[in-house]
Amino acid sequence: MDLFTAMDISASGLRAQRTRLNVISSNIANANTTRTPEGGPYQRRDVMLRARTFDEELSAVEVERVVSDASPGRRVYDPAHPDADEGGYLTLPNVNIMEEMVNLTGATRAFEANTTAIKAQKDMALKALTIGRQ
Amino acid sequence: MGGIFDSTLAQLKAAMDYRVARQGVISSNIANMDTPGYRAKELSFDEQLESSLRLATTHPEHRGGRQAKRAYRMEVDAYARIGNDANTVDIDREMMKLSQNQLLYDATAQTVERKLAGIKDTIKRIK
Repeated sequence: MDLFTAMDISASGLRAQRTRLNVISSNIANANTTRTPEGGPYQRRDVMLRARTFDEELSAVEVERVVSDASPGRRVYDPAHPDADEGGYLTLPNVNIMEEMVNLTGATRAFEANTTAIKAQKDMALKALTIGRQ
Repeated sequence: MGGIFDSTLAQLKAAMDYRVARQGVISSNIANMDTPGYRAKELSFDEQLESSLRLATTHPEHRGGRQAKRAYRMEVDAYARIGNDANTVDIDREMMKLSQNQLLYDATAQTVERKLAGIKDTIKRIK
């Protein structure tokens, strides 16, 4: 266990939170997408985080996988839309912008916490280097 | 007496090792602040364990055979509260522990610096 191990762990946190930010951005960008390669409206995605054993007892973090949220989407009456069904109803993605914005803030803060930890480790390593310098 | 490089330096080294190890545990908690089911960990310094690691000195000429190995052990953080996702990381407390740990590491490093400066000063005066 040295300071570089601690830095590696914090870096794993940065990586996981960045993936989460990408997924949230994808959800926000596709908040109104009604056509996808898989067919049907876009389904919101979420990351599943998992603790990974690192250097004996410590745990790094990693994204286990990105899961699709299968909950039903919003339905609006829009008969003019090409993707509307026979009844004139259009199914929009199950993305709730408010929820995504809250998750976005959470992921940003978590990212910042990890950068703060890396900075602390770097400062500690620099402090150790000053020993016996005079 | 242990000469100029007495046991103080070994003790300071053990203290710095502990701070580095604790930094790893805190980073681990911060990295896992959003992991469902993760239990926050803490590194406790065990005095009893530490004294048991020390070798016995049966002769005045014996150097204090300190095995500054692991005088601390990992445990689940006793103060942690469980949130909605069974994650017990309290990010505010972890950030506080992070700066506190860093300050104490810096303080120890500074003490080592002073100690070495003192030794150097003594040598200079002898010359």
